[in-house]
Amino acid sequence: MLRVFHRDSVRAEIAYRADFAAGVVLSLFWHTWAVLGLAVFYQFAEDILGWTFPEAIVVLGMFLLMNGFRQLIVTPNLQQMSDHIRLGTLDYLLLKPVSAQFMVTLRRFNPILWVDCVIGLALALAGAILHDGVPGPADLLLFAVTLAAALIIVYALGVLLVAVVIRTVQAEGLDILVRGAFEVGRFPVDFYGGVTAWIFTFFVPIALITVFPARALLGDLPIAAAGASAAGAALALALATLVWRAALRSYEGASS
Amino acid sequence: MSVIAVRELSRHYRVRISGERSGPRRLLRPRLSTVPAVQDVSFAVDAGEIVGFVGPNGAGKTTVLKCLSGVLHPTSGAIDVLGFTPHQRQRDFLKRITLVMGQRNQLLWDLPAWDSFLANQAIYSIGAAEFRATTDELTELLSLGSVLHKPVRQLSLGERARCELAAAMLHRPAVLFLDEPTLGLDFDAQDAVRSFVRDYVRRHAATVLLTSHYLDDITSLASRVLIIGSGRIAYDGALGDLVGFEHEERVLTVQMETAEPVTVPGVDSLRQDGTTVVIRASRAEASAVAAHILNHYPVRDISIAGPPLDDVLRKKITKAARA
Amino acid sequence: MWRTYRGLMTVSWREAMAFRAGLVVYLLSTVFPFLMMGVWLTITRQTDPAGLDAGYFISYYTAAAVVNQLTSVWVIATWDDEIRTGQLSTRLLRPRDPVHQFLCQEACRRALAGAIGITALIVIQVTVPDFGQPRSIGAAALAVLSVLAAFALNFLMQCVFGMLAFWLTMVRRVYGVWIGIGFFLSGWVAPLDTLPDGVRAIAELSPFAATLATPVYTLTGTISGAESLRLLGVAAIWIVILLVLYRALWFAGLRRFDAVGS
Repeated sequence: MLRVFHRDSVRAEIAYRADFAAGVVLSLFWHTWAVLGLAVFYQFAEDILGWTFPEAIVVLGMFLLMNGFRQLIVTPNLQQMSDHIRLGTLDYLLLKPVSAQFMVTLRRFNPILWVDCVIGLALALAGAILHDGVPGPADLLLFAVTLAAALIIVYALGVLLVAVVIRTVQAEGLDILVRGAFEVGRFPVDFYGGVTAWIFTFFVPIALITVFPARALLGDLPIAAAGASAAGAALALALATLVWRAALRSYEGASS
Repeated sequence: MSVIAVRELSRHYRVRISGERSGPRRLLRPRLSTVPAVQDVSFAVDAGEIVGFVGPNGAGKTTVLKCLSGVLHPTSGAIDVLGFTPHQRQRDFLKRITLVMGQRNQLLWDLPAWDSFLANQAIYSIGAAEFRATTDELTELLSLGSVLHKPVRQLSLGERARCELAAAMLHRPAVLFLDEPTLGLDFDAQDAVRSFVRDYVRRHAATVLLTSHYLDDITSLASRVLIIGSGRIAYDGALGDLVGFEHEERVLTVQMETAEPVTVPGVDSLRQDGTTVVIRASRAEASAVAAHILNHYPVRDISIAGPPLDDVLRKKITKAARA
Repeated sequence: MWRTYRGLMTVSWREAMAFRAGLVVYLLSTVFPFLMMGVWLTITRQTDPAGLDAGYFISYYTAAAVVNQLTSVWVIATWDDEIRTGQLSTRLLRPRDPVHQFLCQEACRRALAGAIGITALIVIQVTVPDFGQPRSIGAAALAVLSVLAAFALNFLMQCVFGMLAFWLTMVRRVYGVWIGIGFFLSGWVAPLDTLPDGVRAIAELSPFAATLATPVYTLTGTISGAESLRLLGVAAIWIVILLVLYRALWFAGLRRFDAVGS
């Protein structure tokens, strides 16, 4: 079923082929700028708080990957949910014999964003190779674990947001807020210094989805940290599911 | 003296053909094909008339309404509305017409509908006294009352539709183009919209061109019907001739509290899908059937409507095309 | 026209007060400059980039936060939605160009968002003598003018890109690239003082510098009156160019909208 949903979205996009081609070009362009933006800081220092340029590139790559993934699945479904509530079509959706959570969180994709994900990953790998040669199998394994955990966390975030939209109806503000929070992950969080770095490590787990996989790829992530990120992912998913169910209970339906 | 006069109106759309091969050249010069949406349509409407404009989906109804209201330029032919040529979109023309499209939202979402009214007052330059008189009248006709001062997002679909309608009528248009104004509304809200249109026309001698998929909209409002099929006028005349025995059939849609199977003695056209029950019955039987269900089963919601026009129309159109 | 604007402003002001997404935009446009400040302060602890000290970055990005609040419009989203969903056809039925209402909406939202920020900035400038500030009434007037110019430029740039929605389905992404160039040339990622001379010259000739760097410099009194006038002159030229471009695209777009028949 997931494949059908995705194909629908791909078809919708392919219909505007010129846009799709342009989208790929735009992605490449945008990612180049991201690297340049980082380079501005490294004009003045060899390393910043112990992060060299290639190391920071790995974090940037992870950020681009995660941000792309967020826009791939979270943003379109969020908008869709807002429309459902507004037009009262959520009722129909709830009548379908499939998991409602599945229906509302994975119904729409924004396939052009796969390009962002791939480039992000390539950038992260390139940074790692520049830093220290090709990563060994143990590092890659840790990377795979933390990456999967990070993707699950982003998906859980999507579920959570869709649940919130049931109450707030509007998706725009939420999406901007989340985009802003993600944007912080562009640099290693300790760059921001002081309280900010602390907040984004522990309170809003941006570090968990960018810095952890990046460190794994660079070969200096303790195994315990990988375990912690897997636990974090499980916790996030459980929490999001609970919130979604509670939101559905409180859904009053669009009165005609 | 006709208020609306349309002569040989045609409107074509250019659509991009998605070919098998693509490439940069295709992107720059996409192959276009021309699709006629409306072909040689001519008719006239007099002041104070309510004309039902019906036809299956994609027949060109909305296109005609958009040409008449000046949103679209006609490809060929001449249109005269109130002495204006619509697509020139002169300010004085726009101030005397309105186009209501069902399920289009023009109200400000976070504010009470009243504030959207104020915005329209500014846009249409409506004087304070006239604005007060009009809003009083609309509040009464559409029984808006307290609804006006709640944020739009908190309104039900029916309340919102009534507010939308009021917002579109603030400048007291002389010509109303109503495109599926009752789409998606429940029975009460549909009824409110219909009686509003009827009262408004009586008070202001306005002219109305109305499209709808609900036969009841047409039969309760219009005295004359234009049927359009595949972009051409297939029938233009009194409603009476058109609606024969087909209108005798009624469709009951019942939302049950539970999915318990429903049976009604003497009725075999019953279809049940979970908690939704659909029954076709003659006009005479309809109320007895409804009473039986209400007495014997837990019912959440019940509605009675005429059959969808599409079936009736398709027959008429094929007949007219042959003639 | 004056009465129309008065009515629209009243409603737009109420709308801005009720615009819940506005609070979020407000928070972000405020927080982000301080995050950039954080990064630069981290760097100044290790070295002094382009000879600039911590105090420079503190007043630069504080002023940038206020400029952001006052000028970060989002009218491109409005155009994009209206055009793609066909809602625009409802607006075309009204006897006024829809842009007037959008302009009122944006102006009210920005005024509301910036009210606290600009007050806070003035209080800081009065109480902390070292903090960058305009040195004369004339300089202050130029600062006000440059903020207005930044608002106008942002609004018009988004109108120009918004018009592309008549032809494309992804104008926000296209605009994203344009704004991406702006990240460097507007003085957002790094103050123009830290850039190589050539890049700086290009930035000052682009429409971007006037959207952030110029108002920040005039607000913090970093540049002379003559310099401010020169940069405002460039901004004025861009305003005219963008206005002409936007109107041309609008009329072409309307013909196109008509041809496809949304």
